[in-house]
Amino acid sequence: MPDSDMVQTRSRLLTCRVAEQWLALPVQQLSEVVTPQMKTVIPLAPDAVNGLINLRGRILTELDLRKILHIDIDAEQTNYRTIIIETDAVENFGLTVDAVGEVIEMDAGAFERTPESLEENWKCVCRGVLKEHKRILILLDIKKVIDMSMPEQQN
Amino acid sequence: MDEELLAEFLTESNENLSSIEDSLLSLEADPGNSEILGAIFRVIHTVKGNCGFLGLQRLEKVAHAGENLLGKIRAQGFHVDSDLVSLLLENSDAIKALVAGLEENGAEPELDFSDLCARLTAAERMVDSGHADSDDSQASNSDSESDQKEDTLWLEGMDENLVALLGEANLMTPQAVLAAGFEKLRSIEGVKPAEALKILGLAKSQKVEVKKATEEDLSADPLIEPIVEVDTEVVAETIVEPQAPEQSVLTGVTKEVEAGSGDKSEAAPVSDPPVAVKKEQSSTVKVARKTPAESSIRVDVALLDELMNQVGELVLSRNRLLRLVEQNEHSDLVHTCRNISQTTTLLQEKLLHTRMQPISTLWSTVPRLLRDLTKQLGKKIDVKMDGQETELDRTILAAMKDPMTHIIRNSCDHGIEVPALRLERGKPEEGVISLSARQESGFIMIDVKDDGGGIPADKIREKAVKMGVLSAEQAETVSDRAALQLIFHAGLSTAESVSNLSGRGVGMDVVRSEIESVGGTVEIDSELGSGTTLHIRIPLTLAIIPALIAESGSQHFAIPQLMVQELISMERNADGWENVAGSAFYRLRGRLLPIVFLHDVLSIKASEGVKCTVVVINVGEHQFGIGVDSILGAEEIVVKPLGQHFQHLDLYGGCSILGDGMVVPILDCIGLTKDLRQGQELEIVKADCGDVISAASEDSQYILVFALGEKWYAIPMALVERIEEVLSEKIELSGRREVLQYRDQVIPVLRLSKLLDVEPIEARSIEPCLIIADQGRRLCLQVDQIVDIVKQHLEIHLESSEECFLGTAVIEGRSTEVIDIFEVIKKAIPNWFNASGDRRKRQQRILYVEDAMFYRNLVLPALEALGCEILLARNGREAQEILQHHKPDVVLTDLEMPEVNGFELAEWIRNQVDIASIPIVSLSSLEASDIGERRKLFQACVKKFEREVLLDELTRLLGRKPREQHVARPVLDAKVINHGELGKGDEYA
Repeated sequence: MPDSDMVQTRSRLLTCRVAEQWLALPVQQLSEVVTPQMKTVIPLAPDAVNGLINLRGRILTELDLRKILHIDIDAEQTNYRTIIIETDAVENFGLTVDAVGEVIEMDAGAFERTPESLEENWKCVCRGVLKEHKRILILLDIKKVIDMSMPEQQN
Repeated sequence: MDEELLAEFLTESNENLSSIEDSLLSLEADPGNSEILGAIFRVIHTVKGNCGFLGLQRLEKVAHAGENLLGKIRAQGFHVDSDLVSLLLENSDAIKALVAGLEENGAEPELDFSDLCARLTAAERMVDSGHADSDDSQASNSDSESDQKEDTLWLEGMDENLVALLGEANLMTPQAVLAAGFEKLRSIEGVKPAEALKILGLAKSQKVEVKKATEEDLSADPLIEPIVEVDTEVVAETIVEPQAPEQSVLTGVTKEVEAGSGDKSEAAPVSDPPVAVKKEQSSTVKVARKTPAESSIRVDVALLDELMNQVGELVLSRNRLLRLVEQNEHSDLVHTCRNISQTTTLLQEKLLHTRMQPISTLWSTVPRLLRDLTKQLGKKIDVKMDGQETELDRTILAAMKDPMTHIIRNSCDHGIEVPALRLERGKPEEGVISLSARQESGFIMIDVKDDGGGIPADKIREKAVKMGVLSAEQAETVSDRAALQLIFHAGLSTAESVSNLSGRGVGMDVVRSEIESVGGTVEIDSELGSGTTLHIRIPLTLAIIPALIAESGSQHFAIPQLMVQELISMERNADGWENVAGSAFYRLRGRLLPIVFLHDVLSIKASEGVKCTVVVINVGEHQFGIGVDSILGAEEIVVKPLGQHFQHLDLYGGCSILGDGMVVPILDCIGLTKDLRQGQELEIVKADCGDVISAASEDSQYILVFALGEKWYAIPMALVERIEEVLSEKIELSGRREVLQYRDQVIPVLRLSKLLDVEPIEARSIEPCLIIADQGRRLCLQVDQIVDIVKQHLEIHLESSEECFLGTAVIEGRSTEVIDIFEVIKKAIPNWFNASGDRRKRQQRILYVEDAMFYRNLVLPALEALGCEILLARNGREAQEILQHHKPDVVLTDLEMPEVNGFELAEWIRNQVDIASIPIVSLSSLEASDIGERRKLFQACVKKFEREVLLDELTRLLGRKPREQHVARPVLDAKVINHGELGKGDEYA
C-alpha cells in the first residue's frame, strides 16, 4: 500500500460490517459490491477461500473475511455481500462481508494509529481506526487481508 | 526517443538477426559465397545505421566493429575460417544481447563489449594484411566510376521506388539526406516513417564510414578526433532541426570529408566491381521475396493473445447460448444459433492457427548450439531435422525451448562418443542427432535421437539402488525399459564425470517437469551401443480444449479429453477389482490398471451409489484410471488460470466456465496421478511386460459385442462411428420407416432384432444404438444391449450359411455370431449403398478449382446458393490431393492455373478408375475455339461471369430440377471447406 494516499487530504471509504465490527475500505481498491453468487467449491483450497465465482464471465476467487480473521462462521447468514477487490495487482478477488454500509468521505488525518489493545487478528489487517460517536471503524489494509488468506506454504 | 520508431527498429532488427546465425554457419560451410556474405553484411549494416540514428551508442559501436570486419572480408574476398566465424557469431550474440536488453528496458543495457570490439578490429587488420596487395589494381581501376556510383550505391538494398522518390526530391546523396532531415524525408509522399528512418540511418552511417576513412588516414594527427566528434553532434542536431546556418557548417564538413575520401580509393570498398555485381543480385532477390511479404502483415503478439481471450469468451457464450436454446422450439432461433456456433468454431480454429508457429523456430538454434558444443567437446556431430514445418502454439513452443536445449546438450555430452571411440566401434566419425516432429491425434510428437553409445540400464539400476530409489530386489526384477525411465528421477545422471555442459545440477527431472507443465510427456528409449531416443509428446494448443465433465461427490470437474483413453462404467463391487499393497487396481482386459479415486485425492465425501466410472488416461505409455461417480458429458472449454490461492495444488490445470454458467475446475491428470506413478512405476512396468506378449498378435482388432435378446453378436468396431443412447421417443416414424434426427441429418433406424428375427427384449425408454457411417451417410442400428468392446484377433470358426452372418467367433469364451453388417443393410435398405439412390438425402458436393482469389470470391457465393458443400482447391495439384479422399458430385475448374492446369486435371480425373465419371465443368475466359478438341473432356464449358449459365449447368449436372429463372435462394447452411482443413481427416467424407 503506497503511503501516498495517507497523505491525501480526503479519501472515500466504503464501510462494511463483519460480525459486530465495522470496517472501512478505500473505494479506490474496489469495483463493485454484489449479492451472493453461485460458487464452485474447490477441494483442497486454502481455508479462507469460499470458492470460485463467475462474475459476468470473469472467474474470481471468493475469499471470506470471517474465515481470514478466524471469526466463527454464522451459518444462518445467507444475505452476505461480496465486495469485488480490484487493486493494481494482477488478480482480482471477491471478499465476503456480512453487510455493507455507505460510502463516506474522510480526512485521512482523522484516523488514529492502531491501538495496542486491538485483538491480534484485527491488528494484522488494520491500518488505523476512526472513532465515531457510536462506533469504531477499522481501516482495512487490503493487501494484508489478501496475504493472510494465502495458503500456509507460501507465507 | 520516439517509441514508435524504437519499436519498429526492434522488430526489424530481431527479424534480421534471427537469420544471421544460420547465414554465418552456411558461410562457414561455403566460405567463398559472396551472396551469403553480402546478406550478413547488410543485416549488420542496417542495424548499425539505424542505431546511429536512434543514438544507441553501445550497439552502434559493436555493430560497427562487426560491419568493418565484414566489409573488409567482403572487399578482400577473404575466405573465412572457423575462428573468424566464431568471432562473428560472438559479435551477433553481443548485438542480440543489446537488442534484447533494449527491448526489455527501453534503454541500452550496461554491457561492455570493448574486448570484443578490440578483437574484431584485430581480425580486421589480420584480414587486411593477408590480402594487402591483391586488390590494388582493381581498386584504382574503379576509381573513376566511384563518383557516380556512390550516388545511389549507399542506398543498396532499399526499395527501388523509394530510390526513385528520393531522386525526385533531389536527395540522392547521403549529405543531401542528412541536410534535409527527418521531417522533410517523412513529408515526401510515399515514404513511410520507418523507411525515412532507414534512409537517414544509411546516410549517416555512410558519412561516418567515409569520415572513419579520413580519420584513419590522419590518425597520426591527434587533433582530428575531437573535431570529428563535434561534427557528429552537429549532424545529429541538423537532423532534428534543419536550419539554415547549421546547414552551411555541414556543407563545410562534407567538403572536408569528400576531399579525404578522394585521396584513398581503397577506403571506399563500395566501389569494387564485384560488389556492384552483387548489388544486382541482391535486388533481384528482393523483388522475388516481395510477394509473400505483401500478403502478410505483422501483428503484435499481445493483440493476438487478447483476440484469443475474446474468442474464448465467445466460445463460452456460445456454449451457454446452445444450452439455452436446446429446449427451444422456435426454429429460426435454433437455426441462427447453429450458424453462430459454426462461425464461432471456424473463428476459433483460424485464430488458433494464427498463433501457431512451425517448430523450426525452436530448432533454428540447434545448429549453432551444436557448433559450440562440438568445439568444446572435441566431437563431430551433425544434425538432421524432419518435420520442421510441424506447427505448435507459440506458448507451448516457448515453454519447450529450455528442455529442448537441455536434451540436445545431453545427447552431445553423454550420448555421442568422441570420434576415436566411434571409429573403434565401427561407426562413422561424425555422430548424428536427428530431430523429428509430427502431428498425431491432437498431439505433437517430437523425437530426439542420437546414434551414440546408449545408456546402460545396469548403471542406472546401480545408481538407483545406491540412492535408495530402488531396493536391490526391485532392481533385479525391473525391466531395462522401466529402469531407463528412472533417468527422469531427480538426482540420477549417468555421466561418469560431471562436465560443465550438462552436469550442472539441472537433471532430466527438470526436463520432464517442464514438459509436463505444458501437458506433455516424455519417455526414453535406448539401445546400448547404437543410441538413445527421447519421445516427447505435447498438445497442439492449450487455449481451448475438449473436455469431459465428470462428477464426483456431487461436484463437477473437467478432464481434458486428450488424455482420456476410454471410459469404463462399472459397479464398485464388480469382479475386476483387486487390492495390491493397499492400492486399488482394476483388472482390465487382463492387465492391472492402477486406480485413484477422485474423492480420495480431493478428500471430499464419496457418493453412496454403487455405480462408478473409471476414466482411463494415458500418461506417456502408461495408463491409469481415475475413479469418478459418473460422466455428465463433453464440452469445449476455455482454459483459464486459477488464482494465486491454488498455485500449490498440482491437481488442477486451471478452471473454466461451463455452458450453464458454473465455474468448473480442470483436473491435471499428470499431477493427479503423480503419486501413483512414482510409487507404482515398477508395478506398472511389470504389468506392461505381460501385456506386450498378449497384445503381440498384431492383427487383433477392436470388436463391438452386443446382445440381442439372450444371444451375443459382434461387429468390427471400425464400422461403427459412434455408440449412442437414444431416447425412444426420439425415434420417429416417417412413412413406414423409423428415422432419427442425428447431427442435422435424418437417418434411418434399423432394429437389428427385427431383421435377424430374434425375440427382442421389451421396449425401454433408452435404446442403445450404433451409428454406422459410410461416405457421409449414416444409419442407426438399434440393439438391445452393448456388452463390451474387446480387442482381439477375430477368428471365425464356423463359416455361416446364412447371408447376414460372417460366422461364429469365440469372444471371451462365449460363442458369438459375427454379423455381416453390409448384408444386413442391403437387406433392409437396398439402395443405401447406391450413391445415386440416396443423393438427395445428403448434401451434394462441388469441388471448385480456381487459382485467382478474385474469381473465387465471385463464384463462391453463387455455389453456396446451391446449398452444396464446396471443396476448394487453388490449383490442379491441390484438386488431385482432395480427390484422393473425396468424391464430389461435380468438379468445377478454371483452365489456366499454376502447377497442374484445368486440362491436365480433367485428363487425370478421366484416368482415375473410381472418379472417371464425375462431371467436370470448365469455367474460364477461353473462347470455345481455344478449347477445341479438348472440349470433350468436359460436360460443360462455361465462360467466366456467366453466372446464370453456370448455375443452370450445375443444377442439371447435380441431377436437380431446373431452376426457376433468376430466383436464387440463398442457403445459409452451405459449408465451405478449405484445402488446408481437408488434411485433418475424413470427417467430411
